[in-house]
Amino acid sequence: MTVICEVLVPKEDSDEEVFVSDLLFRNRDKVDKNVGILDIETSKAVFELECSEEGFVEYLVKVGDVVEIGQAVALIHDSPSSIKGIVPKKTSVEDKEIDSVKDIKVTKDAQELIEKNNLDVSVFDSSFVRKQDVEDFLNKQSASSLNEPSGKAYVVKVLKRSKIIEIEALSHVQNHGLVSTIFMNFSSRKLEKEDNLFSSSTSSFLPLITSNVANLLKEFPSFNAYFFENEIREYSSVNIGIAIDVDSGLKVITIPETNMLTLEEINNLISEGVYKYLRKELSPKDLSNSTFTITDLSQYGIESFVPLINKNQSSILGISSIDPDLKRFNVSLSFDHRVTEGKQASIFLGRLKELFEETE
Amino acid sequence: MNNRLQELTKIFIEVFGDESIVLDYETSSSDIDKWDSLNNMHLIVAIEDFYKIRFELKEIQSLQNVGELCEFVDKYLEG
Repeated sequence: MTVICEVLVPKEDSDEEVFVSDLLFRNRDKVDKNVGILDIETSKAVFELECSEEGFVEYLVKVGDVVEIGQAVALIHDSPSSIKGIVPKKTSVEDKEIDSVKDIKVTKDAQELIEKNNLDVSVFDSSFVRKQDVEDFLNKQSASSLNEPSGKAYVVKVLKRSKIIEIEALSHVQNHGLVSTIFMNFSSRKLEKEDNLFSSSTSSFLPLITSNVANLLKEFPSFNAYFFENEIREYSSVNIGIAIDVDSGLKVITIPETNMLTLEEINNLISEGVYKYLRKELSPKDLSNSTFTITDLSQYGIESFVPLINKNQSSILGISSIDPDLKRFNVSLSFDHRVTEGKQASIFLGRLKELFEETE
Repeated sequence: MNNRLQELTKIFIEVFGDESIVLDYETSSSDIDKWDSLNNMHLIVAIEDFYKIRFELKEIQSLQNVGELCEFVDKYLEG
């Protein structure tokens, strides 16, 4: 009865830590070789960690843990009997039996209530949590919310780890930089749908704008750069990121070496990225190393908006909806004044408008 | 109406949230107002999920109209 292999957290991108977002089996479950056994979340993506051998799984972490790169998160045993029970996240036990999460023991009824209310077991001071303890906690929480000075009751919703990471990434330049935004209207007169079904270029000018921006960034390197400790660091590559936020949180899909690609290649990579996003199949590689971001909100009928600059970037382009009467749409450019300035941003956006309207 | 066309019509209605959509074999993206790049991919994913198949993106992007889509789905289901 031995441990066959350890499942370690690999280094997938620049993160030093990852977040355990789901355990896909129960402790002591039999798992096949090369099967995903838990989901981990980096600042860029959620992905499955697989076990390299067949056997019986023992988790060393629980959902919500933050673990370091290289740390073991699970062991694969040759026999279930060699597993000393910990973290049986989905264990089905009798009412009076207990569920042990590291040092905290939780009854099944309490566990159900904890999961139903999306609580973290660590909020309980006791090392043994019963249903009554959870009910007391919820009552206290409810009373506390009713006693707010404003007198307004509210529902507490715990932020997902990915949202917290998103806030951190977007806060950086906005809090420390000198952010300004300019706007310009682009003509959409020549934009017509193609006669085919599923090509994303049929109704979107995103690939064309992406291509035009990629070509301009070599001419305007300060928009393909970032501010760091009183230095401006210009990226040698142009990797445009396409921001997408539907059901699975904000992700920025990277189109590597965008300026070296044809319009068709850019179009295909954007489609593929959106497809992977919807399928939740994006890997950290798909989301790493973007040097400039484009965010397209044209589907939502908005006139204009101020996009937020990502960490380690100096600017971001926002695309708004087409005004069908005026046959135009608004493009906004937020930029970090520490790296560039309004005049350059205006020239950049003007050049983009020229390029777009010429090639449209 | 052909069964396949009926099934696809239901999928289109759900993805675009538009009960008034009526597909025929000649329907293309220019006939549906809300057809944008995002709904485009939502639609592909919804069709794949409904039929439990996975398309080659390049292949499906070359289709011209709903008639070709019906034939394409038939081919995948047979194959």
